[in-house]
Amino acid sequence: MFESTRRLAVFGSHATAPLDGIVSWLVQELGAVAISASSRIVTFLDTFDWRCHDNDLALSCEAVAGSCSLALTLTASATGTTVQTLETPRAPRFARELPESPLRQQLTPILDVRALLPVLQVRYDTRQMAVRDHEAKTVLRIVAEEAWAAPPTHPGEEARVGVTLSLLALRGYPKAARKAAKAIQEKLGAVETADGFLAAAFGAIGRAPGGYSAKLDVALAPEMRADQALNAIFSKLLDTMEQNEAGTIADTDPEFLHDFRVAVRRSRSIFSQIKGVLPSAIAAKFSEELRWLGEVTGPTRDLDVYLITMEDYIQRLPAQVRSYLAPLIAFLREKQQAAHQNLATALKSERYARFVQQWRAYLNTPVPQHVETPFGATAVAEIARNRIWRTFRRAVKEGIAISAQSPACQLHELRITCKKLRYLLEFFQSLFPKDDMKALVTTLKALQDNLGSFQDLEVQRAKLVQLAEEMLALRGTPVRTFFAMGQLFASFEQRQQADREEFQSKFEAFIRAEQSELYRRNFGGAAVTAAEP
Amino acid sequence: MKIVAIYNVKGGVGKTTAAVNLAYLAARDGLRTLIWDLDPQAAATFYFRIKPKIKGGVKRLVHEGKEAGDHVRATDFEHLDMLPADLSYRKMELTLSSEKKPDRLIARIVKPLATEYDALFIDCPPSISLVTESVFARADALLVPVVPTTLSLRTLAQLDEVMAALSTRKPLVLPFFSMVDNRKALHKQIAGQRRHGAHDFLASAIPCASSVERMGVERNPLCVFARTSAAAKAFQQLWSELRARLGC
Ligand SMILES: Nc1ncnc2c1ncn2[C@@H]1O[C@H](COP(=O)(O)OP(=O)(O)OP(=O)(O)O)[C@@H](O)[C@H]1O
Ligand SMILES: [Mg+2]
Repeated sequence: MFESTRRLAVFGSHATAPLDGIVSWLVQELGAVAISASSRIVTFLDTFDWRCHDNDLALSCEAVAGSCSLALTLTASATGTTVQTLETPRAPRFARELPESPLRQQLTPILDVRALLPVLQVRYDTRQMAVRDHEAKTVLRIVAEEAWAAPPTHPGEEARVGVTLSLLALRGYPKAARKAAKAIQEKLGAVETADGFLAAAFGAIGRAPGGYSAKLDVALAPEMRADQALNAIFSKLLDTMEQNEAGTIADTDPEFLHDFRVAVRRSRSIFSQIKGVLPSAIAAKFSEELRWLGEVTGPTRDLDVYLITMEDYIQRLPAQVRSYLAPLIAFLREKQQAAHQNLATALKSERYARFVQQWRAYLNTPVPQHVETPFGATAVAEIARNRIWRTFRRAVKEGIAISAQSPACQLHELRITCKKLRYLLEFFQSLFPKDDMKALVTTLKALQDNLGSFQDLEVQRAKLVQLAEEMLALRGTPVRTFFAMGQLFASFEQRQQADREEFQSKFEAFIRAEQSELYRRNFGGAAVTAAEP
Repeated sequence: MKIVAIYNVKGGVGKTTAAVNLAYLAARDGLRTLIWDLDPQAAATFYFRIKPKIKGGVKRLVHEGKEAGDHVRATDFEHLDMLPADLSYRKMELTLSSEKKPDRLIARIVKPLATEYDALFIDCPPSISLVTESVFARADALLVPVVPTTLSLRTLAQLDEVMAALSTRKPLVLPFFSMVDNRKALHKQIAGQRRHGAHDFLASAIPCASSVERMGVERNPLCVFARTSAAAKAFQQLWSELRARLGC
């Protein structure tokens, strides 16, 4: 059996030496014999936002010789060691499509609802070699592998990554492995690699894994002119919209649309919350376009959320009951597809193209020397402080007024105010102490999650009744489906009740003394009441 | 770890041939397999082209049992390792007679290997000694190749006597016919019958074949260089039967 494996990468001065050259060198210098040659193609998969990569994992997929199934391998990027393997009939798009297995268990929380996409294709030319003693006993196995990387969209555009020599030391024959490793390192200029392969492969095709983030992280300086600062934030948001456009149109997974919509909403929020910075004609024109985008993307998102909630909910049901809800899910999917059709049409429209082009052109134009708007030249920090402080105080006021008997709409109001506050904190985070901002966002987020869940359930309950009516009108839905929907309705109510009970504690955490003090210290007492809506 | 000792007090009956091929087949099935060549003649070691030597000889193996793994060598086959023979094994008996609990010797030596391997095949020398008794005390099964002759059948009766005298736990005794020459009437007659005395023979029998003798030239298991030969198929059958009996 193999005792250990050492991987030596032949890069550097010999990087251009072809595989055959290296094989001949091994034959001449080490007396190795070539046993077999083979070639295989491996596709690396990851989500659009690089969730495997961000978790130091690499997921690869290759055909299993002599069968039509695929072998999936999950590797720890840092060490190159295999973590999980699985054979599947076809390449999975979502974690939920994988057969029940440890691999699926590990990937599910990481991928969540995101789709796996091919991110890299590697062709390996492999030569199996052996070093034998005078009795013709094998004392060392060497696998020489030349890798060629290509973008999965253009598999023909291969770029050479290099050759990796794996020395498989056989138990009881450590000397042979040591001797070979020494010669290969000294004479062939190979370097020991634990991993690094994936980075090299991406490098060969001019890509780098990672790098997508919808997080708002625009670096601003306190004295920066407000118009300049807003343009920088708008630009980042437009980037995010553009990055998610294709995935949204293709409906690759629901996160594309989600990120797209968040960017739209954040942009709208700037216009509605910070007035008098950009020229009013510009604000009017583009906020109308953004409103339109919010409107055309809304129905699909609602249905996406509904489907995700349902998936989550039915996972916990017995198989029997699950089958009762199948007609509802099918109905929802149909509606989602129809809604998405409209959305795709909108994003492929002239209007959308014109919006992106004009908005980008505006944002790329340097701000005018002479400012004509009331607060365009105000220091951004001042505006930030003022807006955050006022919004915080409003949230406090609204929250305090909420009692156990308050109607849902009152919670909804607070939710909107909190969302505004959250956006403001995120837009301007770079202007304030990092730790403070982190602490504020954490408690605010906990409150928002509570309010969000409550409100979503409120909407979903109403929607469920509406869906039932539609399905009833269409006929053909079995009665037990309606019963199951009734149970679903009850569970929504139950969870809503739980949210309601939790609200007080979340809100108290939000307004407790240290938190309020952080708000006061960082944003309180702003002199100018600039840029009021 | 299941332990199978291939044993017969009689020499030249096909013990080593069986040990080498069965260990190979077990490994090919994916079991992490070890073969221990306990015979100082080192025939099994020779078949795998491994040097018949262990560092420090039997003394070190007996007195520092923890290190058995240090002497293990990989064969050329996946999942198959070997604990090679050493000339000093012939003195094992002597070393053993001064031990406090000689019947525990083999158990003690293989203990640290138990988690590393699923199956251990021990190729025993043709003798009755403290060493083989200690093998009996630890083995799960004793696989006994018997050439279908009257005289050979008698060795089985001898084995029964030895076993009866043992105070330790006893292995499953599994005799099978080896080197069966169907041109010989007596072979045919004896091997045609499964029950002999108190023993039920395994259903698989290994025919006499010239391909088997070529193992010494090829220095590989028969199932590698003549995998479609009748004898190789017989070993395959024998392994399946053995595996079922062992429940592994
Ligand atoms: N089925 C067979 N057909 C032909 N020849 C065989 C067969 N089995 C074994 N032989 C040959 O008989 C000889 C003895 O076989 P083997 O070494 O397997 O017996 P053994 O019982 O291990 O002997 P020893 O007691 O000396 O260890 C070898 O030359 C071997 O090639
Ligand atoms: Mg022998």
